[in-house]
Amino acid sequence: MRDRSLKVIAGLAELDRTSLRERAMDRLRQAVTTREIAPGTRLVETELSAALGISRGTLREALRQLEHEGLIETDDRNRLTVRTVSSAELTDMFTVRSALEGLAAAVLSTRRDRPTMVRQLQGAVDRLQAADGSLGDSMEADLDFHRLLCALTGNTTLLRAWETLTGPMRMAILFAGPEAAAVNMSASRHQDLVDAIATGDPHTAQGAVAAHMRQAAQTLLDPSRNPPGDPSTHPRSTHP
Amino acid sequence: MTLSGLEAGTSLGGLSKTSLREQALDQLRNAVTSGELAPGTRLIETELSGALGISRGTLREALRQLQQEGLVEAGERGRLTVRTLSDAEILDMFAVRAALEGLAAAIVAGLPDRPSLVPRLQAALDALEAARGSINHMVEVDLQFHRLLCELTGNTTLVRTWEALAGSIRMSIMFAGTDKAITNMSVPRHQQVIDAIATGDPAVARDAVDQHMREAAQNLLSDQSSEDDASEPIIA
Repeated sequence: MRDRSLKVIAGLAELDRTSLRERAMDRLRQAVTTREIAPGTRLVETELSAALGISRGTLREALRQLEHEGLIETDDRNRLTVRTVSSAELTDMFTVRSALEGLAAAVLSTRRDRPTMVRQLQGAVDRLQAADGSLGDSMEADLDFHRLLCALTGNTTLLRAWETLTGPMRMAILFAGPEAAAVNMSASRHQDLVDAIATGDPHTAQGAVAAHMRQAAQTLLDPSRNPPGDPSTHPRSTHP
Repeated sequence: MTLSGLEAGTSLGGLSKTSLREQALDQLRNAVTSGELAPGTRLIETELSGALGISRGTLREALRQLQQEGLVEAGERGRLTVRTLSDAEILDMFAVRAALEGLAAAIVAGLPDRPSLVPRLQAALDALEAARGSINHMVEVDLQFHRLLCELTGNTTLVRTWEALAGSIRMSIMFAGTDKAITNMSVPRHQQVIDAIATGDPAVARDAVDQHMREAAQNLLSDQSSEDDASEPIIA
C-alpha cells in the first residue's frame, strides 16, 4: 500500500517537471520562430534559465529537444546558437516535404473514406482562413494543415518523418519577411491541395503538392517575382 | 530477458552525464535491434537503470530518445515496451523509404557529377558483398549504402529525415528473422538501384527504388498476408 501511494506522488512530480519543460520549450520555440531571438544568436544557459525561471537541467533538456527539432545548433566551438537557414537548405527542405506530403496526398486521394478525409482537411483550411491577420495563429494553422495531411494517412512513420522537418519549417516561414509568409499561408494555396485530393486521382494530388512546395520556395527565395494574387507566374523547378 | 550486453554498463561510472546517456543509448539500441530485447518486451525503469548503472533520470532521457527513433513505444498507461511492427507498419515504413530514397536516387541520377558518384555507391555495395558471414555487419553495411544514397544528394534535410527513421529501418531488417534479412540484403537487388541511377534518368532511378522497397516489404510480411497485393504502388 505504501509503495503504491509513493508511486502516485512520484508520478505527479514527474508530470509537473515535464510540463515545466514543455512550457519552456514552447516559449523558446516561439521566440526563435518569430525571430524574437534572431538566427545566429548565441544561447547562454545561465541567462535563459534565469529568464524562464527554470533550472539549468530542465533548460538543457528543452534545448536538446529544440536541437533535435532543428531550431538550434551547435557552432564549431560547441556553443548553442539559433539556427541560420540558408537558401539552399530552404530549397532542400521543400524538396523533402514535397516527397513526403506528395506521398500523403496520393494515399489519401485513393482511400475509400476520401470524402471524410477531404472534409477534415477542409476544416483545417477554414481554420487557416479564420487565422488570417495573426501571424502566430496563421503559422500554427498552416503547420496543423500539413500535419493533418500526413496524420490522416495513418502512416505513423510518415508522420514521424514529417515531424523532423517542423523545426526547419518554422525557421523558414519568416525567411523573407511577414508579407511573403502571408502569401504562403494563404487559404487559397491550401484549397488547391484539398481540391486535388478530392479528385481521387493520386497523380493530380501528388502534382498539386509538388506545385504548392515549388511556389512556397519561390515566394521565399524570390518574392519580387511573385506578386500577391499571382503566385504561379514563374514556375521554377527546385530540383532536377 | 537476458541483459548480458547491458550489464557491461556498470563500468560506466566515471563518464560525464552526456556520454553516459550516449553509452546507455547505444547499448539499449543494440539490445533492441539485435532482438536481445524482443519486440513487445516491457521496459522496467528500475531494472534497466540498475543493469546499465545509470540514474533513472538519465535512463528516462535515453528512453525518450529511443521512443523518438521508433524503437520503443508507450502502451496503455504510458508503459514502455520494445516496439512491435505490424504488417501495415512495415508497408508504411517502406512507402516512406521509397518516397525519400526515390527522391535521392532521382536527384543523384540528375547531378552533373553522377559519373563520380556511381562508383561510390558501387564501393558501398562491394562492402555488402564482403560483409557476408556476419549478419550484424551486413545490417550496418546495408544501412550505410542507403544512407550514402541520401548523402550524395547534398540535401542535409533529406539525410536528417532518413536518419530519424534509421532506428525503425534497422529494426525492420531483422524483424522477420535472419533468412528474410539476408534475402533483402542481396547484392543484385542493390545493383539494380545503382544501374538505374547510372542511366542518368531520374524517373528510371526512382522506379528502381520503388521496386526495391516494394520487394523488401513484401518479403518481410507475415506469410498469411504475403500473397495479398497490399503493396501495389499507388503511383505506378
